[in-house]
Amino acid sequence: MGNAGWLNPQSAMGISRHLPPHLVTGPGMQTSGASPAHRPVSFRHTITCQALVLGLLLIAGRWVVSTVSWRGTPTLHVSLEFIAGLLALVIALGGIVRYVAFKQRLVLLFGLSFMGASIVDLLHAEMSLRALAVSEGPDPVTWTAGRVTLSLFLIAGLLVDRYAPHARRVRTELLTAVTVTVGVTWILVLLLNWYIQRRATIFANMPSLGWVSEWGLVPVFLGIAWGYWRAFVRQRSSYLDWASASAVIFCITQVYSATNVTVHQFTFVASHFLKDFGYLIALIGLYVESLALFRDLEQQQGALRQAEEKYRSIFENAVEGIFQSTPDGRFLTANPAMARMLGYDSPEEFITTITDAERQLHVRPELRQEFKRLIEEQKVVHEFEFNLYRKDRSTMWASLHARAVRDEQGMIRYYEGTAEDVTEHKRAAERLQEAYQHINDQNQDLERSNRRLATLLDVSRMMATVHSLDALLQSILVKATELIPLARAGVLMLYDPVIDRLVPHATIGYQLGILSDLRLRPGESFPGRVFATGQPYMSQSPEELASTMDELNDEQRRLVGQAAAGLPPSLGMMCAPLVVQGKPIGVMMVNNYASTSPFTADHLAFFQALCSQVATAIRNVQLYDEVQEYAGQLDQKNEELESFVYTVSHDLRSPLVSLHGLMGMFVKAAGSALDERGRRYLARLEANVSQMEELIDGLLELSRVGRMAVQMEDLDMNRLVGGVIEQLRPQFDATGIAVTVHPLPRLSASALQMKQVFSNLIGNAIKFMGDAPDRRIEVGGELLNGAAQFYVKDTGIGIDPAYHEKIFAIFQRLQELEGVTGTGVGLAIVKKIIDNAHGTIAVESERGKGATFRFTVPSGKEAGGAV
Amino acid sequence: MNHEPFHILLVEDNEDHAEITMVTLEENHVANQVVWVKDGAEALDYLFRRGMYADPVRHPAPGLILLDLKLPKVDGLEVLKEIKTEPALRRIPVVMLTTSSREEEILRSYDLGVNSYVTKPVRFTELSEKLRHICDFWMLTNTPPPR
Repeated sequence: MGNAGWLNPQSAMGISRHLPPHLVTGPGMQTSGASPAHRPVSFRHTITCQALVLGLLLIAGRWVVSTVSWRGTPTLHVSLEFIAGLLALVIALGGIVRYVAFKQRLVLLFGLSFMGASIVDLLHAEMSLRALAVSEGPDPVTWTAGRVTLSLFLIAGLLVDRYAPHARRVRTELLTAVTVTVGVTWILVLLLNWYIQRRATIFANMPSLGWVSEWGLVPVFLGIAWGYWRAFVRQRSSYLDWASASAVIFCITQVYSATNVTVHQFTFVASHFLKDFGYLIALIGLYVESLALFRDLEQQQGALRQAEEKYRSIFENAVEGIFQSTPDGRFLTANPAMARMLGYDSPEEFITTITDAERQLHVRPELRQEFKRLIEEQKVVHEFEFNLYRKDRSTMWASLHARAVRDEQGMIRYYEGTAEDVTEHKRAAERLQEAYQHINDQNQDLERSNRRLATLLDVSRMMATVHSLDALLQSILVKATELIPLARAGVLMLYDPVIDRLVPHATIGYQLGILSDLRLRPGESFPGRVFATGQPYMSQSPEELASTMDELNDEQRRLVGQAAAGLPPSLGMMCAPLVVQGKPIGVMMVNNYASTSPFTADHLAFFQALCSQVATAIRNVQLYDEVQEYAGQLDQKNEELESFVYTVSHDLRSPLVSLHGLMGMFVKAAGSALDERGRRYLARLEANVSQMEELIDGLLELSRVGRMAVQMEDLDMNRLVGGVIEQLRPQFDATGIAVTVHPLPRLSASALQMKQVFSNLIGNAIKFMGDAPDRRIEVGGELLNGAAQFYVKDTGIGIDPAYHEKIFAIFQRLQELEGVTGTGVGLAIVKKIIDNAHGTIAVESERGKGATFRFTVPSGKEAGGAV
Repeated sequence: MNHEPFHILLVEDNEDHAEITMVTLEENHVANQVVWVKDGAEALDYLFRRGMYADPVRHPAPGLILLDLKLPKVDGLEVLKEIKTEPALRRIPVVMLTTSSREEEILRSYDLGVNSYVTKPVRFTELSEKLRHICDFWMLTNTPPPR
């Protein structure tokens, strides 16, 4: 049909491809909406006006040419015609070139030129007829009919264009109607001309065309018929068909005219007319078709524009930045948000400023490289974060979603996508990260502190549990190197005051077996200096450390070298004194072999803290050892002493036995010979020997308390104390002292010892009752916190508080009461028994107010004396 | 009941003690003959009839041995051990007569088979009493091993 071939849909698509760049880029689109050239109505008007102007010019030109050609010179005629054509061409080009595809432009130009030419030709033909001085006949009717037909065509074309743009059927019917009219008119004209020919005098002298001449019209009819057939039967009509049919007819008639000198004037005119008429139809059709094309274009463009408006709104008003950028770092497109995000006033400024994004825009160009690599691999990249400079060189973070747009060869033409300002997120995240880092650091600090505290605690614990000094030192050194991760080897040296040297006692890394032979004077090398000055030493210089070796003598160097065999050269060293109560007792040092991180002041501070702890620990262990030693010695001495006392006591008995025996025999042998005085002396001698015996027995008893294994048993103290009182009954009876025993608790203890205790205490109470009017003894006791608390209370002479401590010592007798004998051993025995049972004993008394002995005996298996 | 009078072997290094003991025994008329030896070695010589004690008529086997613990040369416990390990002697009653009341010595003595352990009291009267008891017991109350 009419839009076949050169009006295919692709052409409309093609247009967008050739749209000027500014239609695609942002800035252009910002202003393009205001341009009148893009309004559809003005576009159509432009075409129409230009066509009209062209036509008028051609008409004018041909009119002038025709006039001149008949009256003037042929040169002018040709010149004017050329000028008119040129003008038309220029105008046509100027009007169309911007909007229409090349092919359509050509066709339009071609059609417009022919339209103009045909109109001029038509007028020319008319004028030719006039010039032939046709002054009468129905000639005007013919031309009128022609003009009417022409007018109808024009009007019909315009109407179709105006009211039925897409009604092909209407247009076809209209064309049919017009063609029929034209055909009929033409036949009428032919007949009229035939009539004129018969009658006109001007043709009288011309040779008749005859039927031959008339036959010459046959091709004309054939051409018309062919055109019609194509147009209406085959429905393949195009205006070019019309034009070509007319051209064929024209050529044939021209040839016919040229070959017949006596050509009929009418045939000539008619052929011209026919040709022109055919052209006219073709051209009007072209014009109409062009308008339809333009309208389609406009519609497409309108739709495009609407879509574009829509997208432009999104593009313009998007919160996110939208961009297209080339791999080499230029920006093809950017929306205002994009420009704003990066601190530029407008997208144009942004696009023109940034010509090398990697250099101008990127804080970290390596990220862009990474992005390019990713997009090459993945086609689409999501949430890629760029660190970018703003216009003011402040930095920001943008998150990109982008895809690569490729050309036919698969090369990336540009990237397009969106960018989002994530600076705040990023900062927040960074702050979060910082906070996290901070917390983490603090955690690590805490953990480190914890670990260190734990170590210090461990050291304290070791101090309490490890009583072997060298084992403790080794443990301490291990802990120290564990705790200071850089430390890989270490030595702990203690000062030996006897030889005035520092001696290695524990090592890590070094071989102790070799190094223990090393002796350093205070002040010698850095350990000696640290010891002598009390100032810690820290070195990070391997050279400096190596130079300290020079201070040693050959033997020392050899020992250190052998002990350090297998260790790498030390890169750092910390050495701190071990100080107890201001007195240095040694030094501890650790080596660092980690080249990356040297010891820090922090390490040294911790190391010193450790050393201080260690020093105390060492001192404690030393003290413990000393105490142990003393305690051992004391035990030995005690044992010796007891053994001595025991032996001596026994040995002392032997002469006593002799003494007493000899006295007895003496009395028997010479008693009668003794006078009163002699007998008295003998009695005193006897009394002293008895006293001596008591003392010795007391001593023996006392030493036996410590020596005898105690047999623990569950005791009914009521029975036990009752038994003791029964034993002492004669004394109670003799003295008339009243005794009260309150209910006593049960107790797990040694029956023998408990008897001794109560026997001594109650015996003492009887002995020291004196002559008080109320002579009473009271015994009581209770269980309190797992320990039995007893008391023995009397109303006797009492004890001066000044002697409360003294009375428990052996052989202490405060006063001699008349008739009271004692050795001063009883309370000592009592105290020893109570002490051995881990109990306590004390006296509450005042002189003359009686005395109360209170003592506790823990009930339990552990209570007992030494074995 | 009266048994055949027998000898008492007194082993005592302390002369005073020996004298006191012998005087007391004589006073109590309990010992026809008390043989006194001054140390452990002599005691063993006597018991084993060695040296000057070889004559069994002059130095007959004792019916009771009073043995002190602390003795020069050979200790009382050692003597006790020799006696109690010698089949010919082990039936002779041995009474420890000593000033010592050391538990370990008492226990040791019994372990070695002593027949009685007597601590010498300091008082002469008590000592006399105890010696009389010993003699009464071993001579009168106790039935000696048949010869």
